Amino acid sequence: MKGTAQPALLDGLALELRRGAIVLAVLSQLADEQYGYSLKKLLADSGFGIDEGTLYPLLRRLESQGLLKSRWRVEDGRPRRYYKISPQGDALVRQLTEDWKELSRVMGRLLK
Amino acid sequence: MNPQEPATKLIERYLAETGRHLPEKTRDDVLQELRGLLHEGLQERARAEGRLPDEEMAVRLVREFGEPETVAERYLPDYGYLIGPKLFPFFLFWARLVLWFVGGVLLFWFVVGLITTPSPRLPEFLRAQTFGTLLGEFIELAFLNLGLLVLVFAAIEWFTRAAAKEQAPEKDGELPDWNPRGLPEVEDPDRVPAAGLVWKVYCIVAFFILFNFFPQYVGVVFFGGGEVRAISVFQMGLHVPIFLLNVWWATALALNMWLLREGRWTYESRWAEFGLGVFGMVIAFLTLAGSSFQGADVESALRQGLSDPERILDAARRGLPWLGRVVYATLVIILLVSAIESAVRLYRLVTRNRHAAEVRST
Repeated sequence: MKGTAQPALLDGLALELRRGAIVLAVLSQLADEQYGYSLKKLLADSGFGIDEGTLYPLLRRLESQGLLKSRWRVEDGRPRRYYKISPQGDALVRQLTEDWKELSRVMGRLLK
Repeated sequence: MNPQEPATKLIERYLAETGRHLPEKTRDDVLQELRGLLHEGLQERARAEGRLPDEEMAVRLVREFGEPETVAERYLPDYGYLIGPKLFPFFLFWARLVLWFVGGVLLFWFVVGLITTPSPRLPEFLRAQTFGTLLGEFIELAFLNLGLLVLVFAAIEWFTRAAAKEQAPEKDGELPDWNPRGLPEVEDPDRVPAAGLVWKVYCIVAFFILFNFFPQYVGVVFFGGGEVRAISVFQMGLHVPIFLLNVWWATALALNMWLLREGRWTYESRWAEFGLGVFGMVIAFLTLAGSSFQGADVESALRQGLSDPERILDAARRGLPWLGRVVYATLVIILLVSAIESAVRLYRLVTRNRHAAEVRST
């Protein structure tokens, strides 16, 4: 097995890597109102697949932290909870985006 | 049957199970959102597969969504918790049991006191054992016992969480092994079973006829002097405000007939049920205030044609007033419990309706 990472270890580390980016990915797509399912599709279409069990509770948590605002809307006879980024969330995204770019530059240099 | 019904029912079973593990404060809101998202996901799958949603499709969907307690856990706030979603339903079960036990013990001692206190000292006993005193004792004991229960469950939670951390971490993309078809059936809390209603209507009519037309048979019926005899609770000193009781029965009859026609509890009928419970309590307290339980008329009733009047009279002097009090205490307990139950049901319906109204108004 020399030179090949153990699959379980690799899975765990890759998951950790993605987890760090989820909040930024989600917040970045909420400048316009989205409900859970439409946001999931939006992220998936951009190549950032995320399972429902992670995304939907995360939206609630971000809202409770004041980073998102939400409201119910009834469409096609179905109530949907729409989320949008709050001014506080917007400021955080701008700051995190800078941090991400810096990290990306550093990692680019390290991984050359 | 609607071909999509099995899928819808499975989703409802899944939501009900998830809801059991969620805090009551956010439960309706989270479930409402999850319901919409699950149906959206189901329709999307149906479109992709080119067929109508069926149970098998719903099984795959909720299986991927995750086990109910795991999903509920993800909805919990960041600041942690003493008792987690897996243990929470069991905690609720034990908390209810503890409350019932504490209430039962207090009422038991109240009844014992009511029975054993000599008649002349009964007013003094009732002055000391007011509703407020009993409630104060109940709250004190309930707090003490619930506090102990929380400590026990928090300790179990701590140990089980520590044990879970030692297990292998969850792998991305790997579905947990659980079977959504094994989810328990959902009980509709607002459905009214017709058989129970018919029985209630029968009882109301029977009691109405008995109290109004044959009051002499409301009490102890026995065989003596070669014929059937009865000592009524009214002869034992029970004074019932019969007019109010008739109004109560008429209202209860109207409510039950209405429910029989509707088949479901509504906001209005729950309020009516609660009002009836309170009205029943008022009648019970009026009954207590007007009753003496001296058994004064029992003697004359018993002297009429019994084979051994002295022996039975002696037993009646000692036993029947107690029996009257037991009957009364049982009545109070039943009314109190039913009033509390109807208040809880009403509260649940009101919070459910309030949430639905909030969603509709936005």
